[in-house]
Amino acid sequence: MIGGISFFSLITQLFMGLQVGLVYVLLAVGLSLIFGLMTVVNFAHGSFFMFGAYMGLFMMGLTGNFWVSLVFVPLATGLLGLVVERFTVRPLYGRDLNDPLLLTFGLSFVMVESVRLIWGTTGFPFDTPSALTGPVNLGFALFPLYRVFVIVITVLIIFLLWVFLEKTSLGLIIRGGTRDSLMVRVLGIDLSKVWFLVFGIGTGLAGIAGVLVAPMRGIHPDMGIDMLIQAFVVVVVGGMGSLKGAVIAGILIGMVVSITTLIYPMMGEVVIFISMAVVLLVRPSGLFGEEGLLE
Amino acid sequence: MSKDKFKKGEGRISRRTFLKGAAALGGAAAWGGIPALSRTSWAQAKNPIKLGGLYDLTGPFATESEDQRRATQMVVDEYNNKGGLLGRPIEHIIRDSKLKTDEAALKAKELVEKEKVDLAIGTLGAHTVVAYNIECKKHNIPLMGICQTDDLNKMPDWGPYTFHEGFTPYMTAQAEARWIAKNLGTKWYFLIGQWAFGQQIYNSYLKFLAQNPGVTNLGKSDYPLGGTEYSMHFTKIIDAKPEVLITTGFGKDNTNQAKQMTDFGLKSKMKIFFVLTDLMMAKEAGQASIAGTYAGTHFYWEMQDTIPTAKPFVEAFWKRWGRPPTGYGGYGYGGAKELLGAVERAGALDPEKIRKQLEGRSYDNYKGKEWWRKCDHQSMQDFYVLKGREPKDAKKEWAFYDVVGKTDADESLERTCADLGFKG
Repeated sequence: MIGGISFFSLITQLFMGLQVGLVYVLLAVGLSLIFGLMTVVNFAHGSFFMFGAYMGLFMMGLTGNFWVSLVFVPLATGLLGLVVERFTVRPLYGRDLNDPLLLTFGLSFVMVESVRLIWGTTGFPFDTPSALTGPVNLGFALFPLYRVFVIVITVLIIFLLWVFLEKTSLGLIIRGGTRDSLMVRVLGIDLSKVWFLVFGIGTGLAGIAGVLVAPMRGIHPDMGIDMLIQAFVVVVVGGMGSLKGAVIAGILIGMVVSITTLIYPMMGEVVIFISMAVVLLVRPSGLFGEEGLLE
Repeated sequence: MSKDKFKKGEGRISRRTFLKGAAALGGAAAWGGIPALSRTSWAQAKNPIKLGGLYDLTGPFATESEDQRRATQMVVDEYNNKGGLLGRPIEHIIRDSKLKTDEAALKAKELVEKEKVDLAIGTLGAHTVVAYNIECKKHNIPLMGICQTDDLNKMPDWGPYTFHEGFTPYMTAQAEARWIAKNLGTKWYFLIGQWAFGQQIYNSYLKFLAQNPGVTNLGKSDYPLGGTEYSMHFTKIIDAKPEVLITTGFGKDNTNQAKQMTDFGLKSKMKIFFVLTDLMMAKEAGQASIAGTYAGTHFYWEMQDTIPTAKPFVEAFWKRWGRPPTGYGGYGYGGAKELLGAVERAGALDPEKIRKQLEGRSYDNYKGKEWWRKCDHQSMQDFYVLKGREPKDAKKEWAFYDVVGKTDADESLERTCADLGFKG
């Protein structure tokens, strides 16, 4: 017992924090990737997350198969991201940083209202896939199998993203573009194509986060708003543009929120912002902000 | 008018100008300008009675608030279809508080000072209705509160023309606490939302606990309004080993909690009691999530099988909006019926005459007998406990619950007039 809390409770709570933190990570890496390379603060990221959940619901209605949805959703949201980049974000390159920020801010409203028009203001339940229902015994607690699956698949996605960025020549260009876009262009590489692709990957990641979260929290048009705030906090704490920072900050914040909720529930949500304030006071550029995207 | 006046390009609209105008008109229609135009002509033609409707149309309670608006509109249309009220049409002027106190204050001021409404109805949030009431009180406009709040019927918030069709959280908790202690268990844990309603409910439960030493309070976890992840509260709750978990989760909080409590197996460890639920929350959470959970309500549409006045309301609502009404739709319908009915009986918009029509009156608009307590204008009505059906037992669409408990309307469930600051 530590302060009236059993060891098993503490471990369970840390595991819950890890799971919730990894959801933050999944949303934050896309946001961080887009900012790191393109310096676009994508305020519509939460709406892509929401759109992913609705696309998942749509696909579930068509096929009744969660796994098909899981493959379809990142492709659909990524494709939407590509269209958005090509026709709305691209014309703003070279302009003030605030211009794409305002654009994506407006776009987020358009997306939410469009979903309201199509699917209505009332949310929908999203059934847990039958193969992943029920609890699994982790030795220290019973935990929903679906949430364990979310942990596994999130780790897998982050690993694949790391391999893509670290081990492929396209990843090398992205990393180079993040460090010094002028130098990459001098080498004869058309960075606009890379930006196009990265925006699609980032929004695809938001979409897959949406469909993964849907069985845990249901679906409604405003579901992206809260998640976007949390994702921004994670990106700021980790360091704008740092993938490693987003991963570590997401897990840390999830665990801090979880333990705070166990000890003093009222502060559970506030502690996210306290963490951000503390990090910004000590390291204004975030935990890994100075080191760039992949350091 | 001479023919000469119509020379080429004069007194005519060129194709380009027409297209510009059409585009502008199209834009105005898309952004709500057309209703404003038609509203003006309506107003000029008939000098309508203006009913201000402030609703929390954005945020976690948007679905239930929209039902309040719809049900109120049904009553307005009932009057307008039979020639209006006092020979004048009723205009329902709608504003969205966005569930924020400052926005509610701003929109209430707009309704009262700019639109100059004659009567007022709304909101759903216990905090937004207080802001609305302040503005209505200032201008002696009769307000029909259709939410759950402890503030509208107590001094000094209460006004002589303030009426409250909704339950008070105090009454809700008193009605539920007796039922839970008798039927579900006496070791309780609370999950309390950090907003006015949550605190008012908890305070009333605390009073019950103080008067009933046989019931134990094992602890409380607070959560912010509109949260998304509740699983992090569960370790503490499970460790406390309660017989009953009582939660104030409402709206999206309710659906997220029901879903996550099911996933984490809380339902097999304790009874779950939502202090308040409504139809669309069950729809959003899904039958599997609400199965076996208990919840309080003042109205559920299947009561039409046992309450005669519920049937026409449910049928009319269903026919118009394509599904059964929520309980909050019931508040909107019942509240609007009472307010507009009082004007009709009074034969005037004089707030004093409206007040006299309502004080002490018994009525049955959609859910059986209710009455207005004279001292504080609080509606007294029956309260019910629902239990979520198992998916295999939910045979009809929208048939989410069984009604398993009822507490009859009783003034002793509410604070006394003296407690609320009324003399005599």
